Amino acid sequence: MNDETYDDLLSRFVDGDATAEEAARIAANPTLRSRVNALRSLPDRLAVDVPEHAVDQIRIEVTNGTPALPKDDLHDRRLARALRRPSPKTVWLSSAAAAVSLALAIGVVQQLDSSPSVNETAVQYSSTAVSTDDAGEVPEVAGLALEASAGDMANDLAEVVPSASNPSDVAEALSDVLWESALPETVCDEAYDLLIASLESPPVEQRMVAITFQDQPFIAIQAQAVDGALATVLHPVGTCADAELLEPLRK
Amino acid sequence: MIDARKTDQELVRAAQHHDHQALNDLLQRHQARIYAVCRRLTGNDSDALDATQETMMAVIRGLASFDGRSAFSTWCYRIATNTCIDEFRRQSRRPITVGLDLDDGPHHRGSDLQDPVSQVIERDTVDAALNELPEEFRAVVILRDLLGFDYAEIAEILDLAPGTVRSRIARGRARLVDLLYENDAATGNQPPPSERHTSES
Repeated sequence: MNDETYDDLLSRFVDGDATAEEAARIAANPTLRSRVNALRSLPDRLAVDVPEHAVDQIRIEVTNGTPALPKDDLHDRRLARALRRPSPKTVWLSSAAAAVSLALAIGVVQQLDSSPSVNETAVQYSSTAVSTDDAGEVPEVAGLALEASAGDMANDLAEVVPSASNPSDVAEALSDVLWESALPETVCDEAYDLLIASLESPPVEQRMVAITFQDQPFIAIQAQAVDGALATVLHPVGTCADAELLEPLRK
Repeated sequence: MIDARKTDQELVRAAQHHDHQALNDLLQRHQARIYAVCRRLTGNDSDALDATQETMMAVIRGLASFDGRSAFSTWCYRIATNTCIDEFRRQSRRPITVGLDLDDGPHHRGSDLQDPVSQVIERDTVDAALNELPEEFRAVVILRDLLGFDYAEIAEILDLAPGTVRSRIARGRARLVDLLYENDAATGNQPPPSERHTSES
């Protein structure tokens, strides 16, 4: 039995889900008993003393419409992101990433209605395109394929993605369906910032799939905010600054 | 004083109809747990208060569209978790700085740590261990062992498959125990009664 199996066994035991036979095996082993004691100490060690007055003050002022805390860098960043929010119409932006040799494109689609059915909503989109020569040109593309790792959901997406002519079309087509998570832990700061900038409220759900587009790997990320708004980003893996984070997608 | 007779669902419904007292009661009922999860996910008091405020503001903004398909608590702590993860990802890109916590009070509720020095060491030990714990494990362990959510609730909060939650809790707990043990040894903190096993025999 390896460590991972032990971890699972002991965790189940702590949660009261171990069988009688497993429990007896743990009881007979001093090392495992010691480990169980350590696991059982976690709730106590993670406990937090709440500064009640400060939290009360936050609640009172937030419910009264005036934030309790002084403006800090967190709010500066949110303001900056709000100012970066693209206009409803298509816009082209240059970027420091223009120096990269590979043409890349990031599409952002913002669905402004909480309904999951795009047919019932007005869809507005903006896109950011960057290339080596001219930030205003989007390269012609050959088509789009979805990685097998995304499973049935990828097939569902493939059906709704037509022979897209550019990344914005891909992002818009992908925004027509609510996805299931395929790559829940893979998101880089650049893509995440774009999502945040496209939403008025913090995202509560994110769904990601790996796709191949113009023979280059991308992740498509869809986020839903607390107010129901959806945003979709098509993000290049090959030129992503967080290469290490996205390394699994290169395979 | 919160009206304990009213359920979250009733308070949500009233708050959605602009009942200010209901909104206040709803947030007051959950504020300690919101702060707790924010404190453990952000790693310091100042960011935890920021994240608590952000969470409360997001709850207020989103309450009108909250349809009750999930429990309010699930929805609320999902917002808190995402707010903190968002902030943590940004902070992880910055140099580590040492600052003063707003609250110098004890952060450990265990009965074995009475003196202030031990309490501070324990607080720093736990903060350091959580900071080293990979993000994918941190949230599940905190939601399970600090807030007491069951696996299904955690799966809903983090939008993960239940099997993934179970696996991450097991691995996250094990890793956290190891990190705490290492940090206890490094700081001279009284170590928990754990000893890493390598075999069953």
